[in-house]
Amino acid sequence: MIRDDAGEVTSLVGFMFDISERKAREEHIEQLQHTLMALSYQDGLTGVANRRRFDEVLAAEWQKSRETGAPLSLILGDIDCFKSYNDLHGHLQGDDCLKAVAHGLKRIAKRRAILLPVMVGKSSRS
Amino acid sequence: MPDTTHEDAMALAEHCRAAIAAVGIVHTEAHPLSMSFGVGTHDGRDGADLREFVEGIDRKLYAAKDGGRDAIVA
Repeated sequence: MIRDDAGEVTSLVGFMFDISERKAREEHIEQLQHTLMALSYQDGLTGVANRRRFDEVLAAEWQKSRETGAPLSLILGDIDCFKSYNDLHGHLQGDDCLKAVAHGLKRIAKRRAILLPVMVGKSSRS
Repeated sequence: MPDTTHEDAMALAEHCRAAIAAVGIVHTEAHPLSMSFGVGTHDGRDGADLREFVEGIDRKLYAAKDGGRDAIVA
């Protein structure tokens, strides 16, 4: 505010900044964080939920079940003789096999809106 | 699977088992690729332990595998 000798306001001085670029950058970073967050809960090969997500969802659902008394079911599945499949067909085809299995199960999980996680590295007996 | 009874879970496991058979991956000529499953249900009671719940189902899974594979143990 600029005043004359009598104290009257004669003019207003202001500054304007174009923040659209900064805003776009911030939105981009937010989007990247979102993507990163999603990826950190996903299995890289099959795209289904990973162990981390499974642990978090299971703990939350367990708690909910204890509070409400509603039943909570869990199915654990394991591909039979997968080590032998890998030995026989090679690891690349083993990867394709895992993708096909995940794809087949994903359709069921999606229809029922249930979580389908994949756990990697668990020692398999057969 | 929240709000899912044991019967529902068993039906779903059977659905999964059949879905894997339907994918039709050849393991060996004699054996198509298969999966085994363990199924368990928590009834929401106090005193139950999550770790024990999961380990119990894991034992069922391996009982299914030891029992001939392509199987479901509840």
